[in-house]
Amino acid sequence: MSSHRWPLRKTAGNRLTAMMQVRNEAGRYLEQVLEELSEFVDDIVIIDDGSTDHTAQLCRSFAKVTKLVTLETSLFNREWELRQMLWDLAVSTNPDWLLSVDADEFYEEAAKREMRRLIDQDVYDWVSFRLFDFWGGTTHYREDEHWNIHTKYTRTLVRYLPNFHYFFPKMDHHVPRLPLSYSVLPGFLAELRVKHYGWAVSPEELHRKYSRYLELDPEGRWGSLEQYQSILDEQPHLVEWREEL
Amino acid sequence: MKYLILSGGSWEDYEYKRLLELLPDREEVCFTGRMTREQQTNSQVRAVAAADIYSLNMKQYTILVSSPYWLSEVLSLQAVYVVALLERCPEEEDKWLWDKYSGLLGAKANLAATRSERIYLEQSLRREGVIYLGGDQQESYGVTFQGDRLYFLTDYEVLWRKAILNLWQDSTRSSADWVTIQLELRADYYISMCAKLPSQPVVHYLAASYLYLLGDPAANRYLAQSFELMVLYEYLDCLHSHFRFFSAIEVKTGDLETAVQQYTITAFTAEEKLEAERLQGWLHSGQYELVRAELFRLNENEAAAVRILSSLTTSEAKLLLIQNYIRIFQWEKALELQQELEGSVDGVIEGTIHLLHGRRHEAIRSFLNAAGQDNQAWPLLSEMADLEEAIRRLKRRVEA
Repeated sequence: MSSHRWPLRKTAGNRLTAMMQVRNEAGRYLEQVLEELSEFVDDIVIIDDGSTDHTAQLCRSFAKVTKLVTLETSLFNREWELRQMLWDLAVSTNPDWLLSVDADEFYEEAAKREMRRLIDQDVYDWVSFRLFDFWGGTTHYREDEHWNIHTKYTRTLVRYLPNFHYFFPKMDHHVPRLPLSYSVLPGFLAELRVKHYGWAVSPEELHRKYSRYLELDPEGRWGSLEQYQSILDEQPHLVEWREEL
Repeated sequence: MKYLILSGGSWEDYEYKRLLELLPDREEVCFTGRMTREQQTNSQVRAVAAADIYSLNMKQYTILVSSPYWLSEVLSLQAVYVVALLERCPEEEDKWLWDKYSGLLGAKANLAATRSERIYLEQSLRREGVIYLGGDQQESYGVTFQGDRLYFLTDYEVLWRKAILNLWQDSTRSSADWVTIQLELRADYYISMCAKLPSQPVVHYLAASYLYLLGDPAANRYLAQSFELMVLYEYLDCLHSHFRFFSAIEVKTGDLETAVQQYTITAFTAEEKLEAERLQGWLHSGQYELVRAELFRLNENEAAAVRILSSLTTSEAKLLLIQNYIRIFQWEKALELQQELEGSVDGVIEGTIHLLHGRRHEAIRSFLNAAGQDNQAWPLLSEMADLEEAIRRLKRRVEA
């Protein structure tokens, strides 16, 4: 594999690689996510962070999953190492562009349609999208003081530039999904949307998630205690999702 | 040895008194600036009026000059050696004019000395023979007797004496020894500061800068740390400053493909993209020296670029050499090469040189020629008037 390429920023023929870290995702959204990704990316690279179910088997069943590394022991409590490992695995395929995807994220139709136009250009090196936290199901997203990530932009799509200096902050939790180094490069803030189904779960599962967050971060070092508490809100403000075709 | 000091005003305000006391083989020191009899007696420095400096036999003198507005005198006096004491622009002066003529003065000097670390680093990237008149070492680095007085010397004072002696002792001998010693001292200082202030990006950047000047590949590690800290603290306007520097470090370690790619990461404007294509073209056609020289220039390390280009004979190399000479104010060399290569010269540069040599009419003619028909001469003539006014102000301060 050559780390030298010319032109560095291609306006056509870019290869798009999706990268994911997964853990015990069987029976959730992973299968659907992989199906959808298979429609618009060229490769999928996955680290299975110590799953005890058949997540790895599910991943292998998709032809576009070209690299899968299964960890015996989870790196969940050393998140920056996990991020770094996934990054190293993804760039070992010498990609042009990388799309960082969680096992419960879905790009809306317009985003999938625009994906090639977003990457086949030489003006910017990353793209951010609007992420919506769906709540309690897949028809509504949550919007209030603590749940408003969709009002900001989240960088998930980046051009891979060999010999650029990539790094992740060495934190145990809440490590950004992509190297912070991209902040110095020009980017594009797309209005395209991503549906996040991580909270699109039953009230019982919301309780379990709340307990897990508090257990991991009882003092609110990595996140806000108020936000953790708001997971249990009985009547959160929900907005109906409208698909834009 | 005899020294002529061209100051910026009065003895009272002169900032380099101790350095004058430490001048090696100090036979006579003449000071052009305001000075009382008592000051002359106490300092054993003789005051000389600006009008009288031409009566000195300059074949015996080294000039120490601390204002760029003495440049015309420096050129016409033709002393054996010139030491430029380069300073940051004082508040009352026009910065653009000061920096330009300080650049020209620095380029004319045999030795450039400065109390500003920023100027020191800039000059070190532009030329050889630069000394930093400051330091952070507390201990004494040596002693010397001047008459019957004993002086404990700081690191830079020892090096100051070496640098001045080096001028006289053997002009063919390299200044590398004392220059390297000072760079090593600065590198050691900043490396130790990185351990004390691990979250300071600027300290890491400076450590990388000195290591780079020393040719130490560890520069890469400190620069990477500086970059990470910059990003963590959200100082995001650092792509050019850091990645062109990474690129120059790669040139020194010999990986030209990586170096070109690192420059290309920073190339977004049409001009920068063209530059990247040009570098890639040279790389493919095996013109590695041009790649090296150009990447050094792009990281503002013209001294390294000039070293490479001076030995090349192609017209492409000579054109690059002209650009470098212009950037480092080696304007007479640039004109000479332009004349040889193109049969014509840059009128603005030619006019400035005429002006500095006191050829006012020729200067105006060059400026008018350079300006063409559409009134572009005005800024050039205005700069000329500003320079003459700055020189008048200097003379008033010196003679008041």
